[in-house]
Amino acid sequence: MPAVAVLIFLFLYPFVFNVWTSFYKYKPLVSPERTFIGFNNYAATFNDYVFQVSLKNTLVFTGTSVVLEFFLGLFLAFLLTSLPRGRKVATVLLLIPMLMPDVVTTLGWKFIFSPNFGVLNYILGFSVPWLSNPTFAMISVVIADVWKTIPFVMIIMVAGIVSIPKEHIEAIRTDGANSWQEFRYLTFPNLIPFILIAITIRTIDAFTKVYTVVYLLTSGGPGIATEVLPISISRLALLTWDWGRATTYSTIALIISLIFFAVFLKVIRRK
Amino acid sequence: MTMIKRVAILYVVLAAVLIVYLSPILWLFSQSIKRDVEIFAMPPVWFPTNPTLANYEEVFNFFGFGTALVNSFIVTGTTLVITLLLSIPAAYGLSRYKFPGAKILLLAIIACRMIVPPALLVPLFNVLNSFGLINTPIAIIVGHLTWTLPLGIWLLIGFFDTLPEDIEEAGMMDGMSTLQLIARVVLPVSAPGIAVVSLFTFMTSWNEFMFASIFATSYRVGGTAIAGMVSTYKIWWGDIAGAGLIFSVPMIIVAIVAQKYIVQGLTYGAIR
Repeated sequence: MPAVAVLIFLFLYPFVFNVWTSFYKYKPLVSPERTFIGFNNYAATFNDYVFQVSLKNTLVFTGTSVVLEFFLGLFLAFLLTSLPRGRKVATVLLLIPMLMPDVVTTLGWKFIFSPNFGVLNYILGFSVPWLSNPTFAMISVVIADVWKTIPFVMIIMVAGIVSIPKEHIEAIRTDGANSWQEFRYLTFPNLIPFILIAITIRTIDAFTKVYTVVYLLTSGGPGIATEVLPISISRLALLTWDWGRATTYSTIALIISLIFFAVFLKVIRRK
Repeated sequence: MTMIKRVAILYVVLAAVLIVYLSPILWLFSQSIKRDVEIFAMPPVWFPTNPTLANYEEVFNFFGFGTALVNSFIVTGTTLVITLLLSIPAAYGLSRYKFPGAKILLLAIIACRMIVPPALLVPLFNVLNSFGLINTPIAIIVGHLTWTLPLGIWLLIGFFDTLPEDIEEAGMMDGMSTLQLIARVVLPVSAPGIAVVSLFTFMTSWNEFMFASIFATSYRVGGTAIAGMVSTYKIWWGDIAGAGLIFSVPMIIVAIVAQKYIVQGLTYGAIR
């Protein structure tokens, strides 16, 4: 089957190439020669300060943005589903941030955060060093990402809330349950599979695909304050051309992704 | 009375949420119809005094955004066609014929979706470069296929698994080949599955920035053209806003038209 051949090229080849090259010293611009150095790349990587910061940042970014977008998305889902009218129009409007290309929304935020011409500091009434202070730079990246991914959680949660049969809601209400009891004993248990799916998929995507937002907003800076793994890998690959090291980073990231993947499989089986 | 009050509060909250949440987009629009004097004014000019389409014109005349849009359509269209052509037979085969190793292959397919995309940069660059394909649309398309193909196959397997096999048996009785069977019997009933795959292939490819910016610096698609309006000595905010809004329109329209397939595609078919 041609598709299988293409898949092997697209998946197996990069995988093997990454693992294999990670055992070599290989800088294609310096010399075409590869020298086998065993696990030296791995030892160097784990001792590398940039790698440690990058891995830590990626995890901090993933954790904060997933938690924030989950609660905000859940709030919007409850708001939408309790509307007697106009739910469709409101849903479409709230989906728009997710439906705009990352490049567009990220640059939009860059202007909003701008120290001289940005509206955010003007509205706040005082000057926050959004993109130039290490902590605020990470906060800015999280804000720009959360803003874009809230609709993802929202729409899955809406699907979850609507899937609860009307008869069950009526039954629990005639039994005299208050709204907290209704949430605790009916809504929440029914939402669990949806919550798990939303959170696992968002965690995987936040961890692996945080490239565009960071690249355009801060390029990993100031210094390495917002450096994340995808940015580090692309820099090593095609700026420093240290392919031995780049493939080592890649292989480590691959292993972490596979762990997330195992969790994902568990989650969808559970449903 | 309290009921009416509750509903009123709901809509007030909704209105507040909409205004705050969508304000970055409204601001982008406001910036796009202003001249530089008002764009960089402090305090900000919320409503332009002399609305102008100058930025929109400049985007096409000065930055050649028209070509970038056409390139985006070429890349996204080709990615879409290849994804469908390869994923339909592959998914059908994996769904209908259980051969040894099928399960591992299936896992490998969905694992592709979990890969850190930059991990593909070095290996793909290596191959594309040896074929002289860097800086061509093909390089971008190959990059995009690494995302869309696994997703497409995975989604369609889930879809084909739910189709009853009886209809195909009738086709086989008539002596159709597998390809004929797919084309005449399976495809017509697979429209929803194909719609889900098409929606997500379109959105992924239209939105993708990393491969486009690294593999093809001289072949500009919409996203890289907009990013190119940021230079070290000037950032053309008005043009970025204008081009950005134009570039967003196809994605928003496609997604709204195919709205009922969004949830299924977002969750890789885990929620139908």
